[in-house]
Amino acid sequence: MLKMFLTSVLNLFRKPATHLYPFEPYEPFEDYRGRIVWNEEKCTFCMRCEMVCPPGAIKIMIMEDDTKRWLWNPAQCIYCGECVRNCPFGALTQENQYSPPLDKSNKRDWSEIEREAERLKLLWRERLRKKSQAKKSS
Amino acid sequence: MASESKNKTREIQIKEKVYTTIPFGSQHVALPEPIKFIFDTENEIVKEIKFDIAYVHRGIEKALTTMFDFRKAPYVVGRVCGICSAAHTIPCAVVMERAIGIDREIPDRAKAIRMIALEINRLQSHFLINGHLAEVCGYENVFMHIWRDREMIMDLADMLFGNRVQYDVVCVGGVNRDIPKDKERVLLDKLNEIEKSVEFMEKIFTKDRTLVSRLKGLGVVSKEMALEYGIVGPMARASGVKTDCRVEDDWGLYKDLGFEMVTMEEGDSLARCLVRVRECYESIRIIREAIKSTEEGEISIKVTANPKYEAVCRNEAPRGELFYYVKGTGGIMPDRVRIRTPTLANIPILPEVMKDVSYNDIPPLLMSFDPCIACTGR
Amino acid sequence: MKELPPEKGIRNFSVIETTLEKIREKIREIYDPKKVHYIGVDAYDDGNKMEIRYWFLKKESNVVLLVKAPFDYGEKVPSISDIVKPAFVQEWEIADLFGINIEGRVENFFLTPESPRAPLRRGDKLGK
Repeated sequence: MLKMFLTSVLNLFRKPATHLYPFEPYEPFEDYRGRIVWNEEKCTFCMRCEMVCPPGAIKIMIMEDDTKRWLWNPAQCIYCGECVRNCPFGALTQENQYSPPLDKSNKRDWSEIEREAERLKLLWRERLRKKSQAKKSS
Repeated sequence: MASESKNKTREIQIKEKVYTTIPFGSQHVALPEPIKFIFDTENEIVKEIKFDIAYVHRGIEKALTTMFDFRKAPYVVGRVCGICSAAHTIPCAVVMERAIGIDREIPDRAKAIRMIALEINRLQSHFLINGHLAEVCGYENVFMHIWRDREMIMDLADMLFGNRVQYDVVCVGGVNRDIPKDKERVLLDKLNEIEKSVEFMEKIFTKDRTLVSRLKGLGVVSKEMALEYGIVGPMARASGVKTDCRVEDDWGLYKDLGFEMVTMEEGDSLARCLVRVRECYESIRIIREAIKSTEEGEISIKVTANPKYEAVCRNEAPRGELFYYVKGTGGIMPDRVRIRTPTLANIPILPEVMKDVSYNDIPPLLMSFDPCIACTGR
Repeated sequence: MKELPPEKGIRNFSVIETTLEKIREKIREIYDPKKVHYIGVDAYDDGNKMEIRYWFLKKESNVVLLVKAPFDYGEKVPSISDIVKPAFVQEWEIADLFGINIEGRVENFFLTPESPRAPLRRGDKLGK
């Protein structure tokens, strides 16, 4: 009984077990698997990251004028880091920060992007085929 | 004359046995996941049980044969169940390696890290279910204590593997990240703390009058019954059946590290709970041994071939035996993947055990079974 | 687990092939709760034919055992749940997943009524 009373009195002055989040900033661990960061200068658009991504959260768009875009969906990503490990040029890195919350400013229709990327890839293959044919005939 | 007919109608009523039907689930406070039971009760005693698990099928077996190649498979099956994520990824990776034919070449360090991931997974799962059991018994204080200590294990996983729930550390051919020396030291320090909280948990579940009198003698599964129904995991071990896939299958280093099986004879809810508590000690010991036995070094080998054999793997998930079968055909995707989850083996005995139990004892009884419906649905 | 020499593309389990008529007798012969652990039921569909598979583990020798029997689409498959008591749950599960007509099955045990019928079936598709 006395022990119980002591514990309850001492508990009044003990630190809470939970993290008082908005007042104390929360720091993720050093090796936390957070957002993926893309370095445009190192990237050669080899499409390896797109191939190995388990959920298909990375898409590479090849525009009709042969410029290329790298797109990443933070909501679909499972943060496994497979793309980072498989990148042969070190263009992708994983930070230990959480990815930003989705709102109107950065939310995109991902299924639309997937469809568009597929369509553009077909067009690109068609262009490549025509080019090689032209080479052969000349 | 009138009294005679009255007596007759009473007799008929007694013969027909009017049961009250009580639905339990698919949404219920005692259940974190959707499973539906229909109990036919006589007063408060449950007489007949029907159940329905058709709520969470996600078609993962089909997805593994049509959408994802075998290298992505461990990441996919990690999402079968949040609580036993590592327990699913490991046998999936092992069975793919066996189907390729490279399972003998996996480095020892990778095996040790896989074992550490599995044991941390088991620790947090056992903490979770024992806390939940206390809550269902109406002992919320213990629930909060155990879940506070579980946070330590979650943080440990976060520090080692980079995420609290989905470790994603296992891949086909080894593991993704090594555990450096400084983290090993933190891990060993934390394990001492966790051991203290396991001691606290054992003290509560053996000495506390409320919990012991509530759980003792509830839902007894005898050894014969356990063998007849082929139940697995801590449930079988609580009934005295010596079965543990950690020693029966050889993907890890368990045999080299001297694994000791925890068994009890009683077979009631309290014994199931105590088997889980005592397994925590064994898990902690295995993590320590696994770290000591291997040095930092090679953690994965290069996978160049596609799965072409048929192979099986049995792994001890926190809830029991987990069975994986893969049929490879030489293509990038396997032809058939079969996942037999532990709860699927433990469900058939439920109606037998729940018969003639008071209705208010059903939630703790069900929680002591540790059902994982997300696993079952897949 | 005991390693067996890989033959016919099979890595680490042994296979007993029977027919649908004899499968009950075969399992009655093999199964003894004290010596054999029942693992599960599985089915396989290669597009022309189906197969029902029962997985067991011999406890003493630690060998996984597969008893399988081929059958045609629409054929009635006998249940073994009177020999192996816990088999009924997984029998109903694969009956839902493959659209197999197993004795004593309960409809919509594993899939909801709105979901696609028999998702793992390859040939002889059932309607929605």
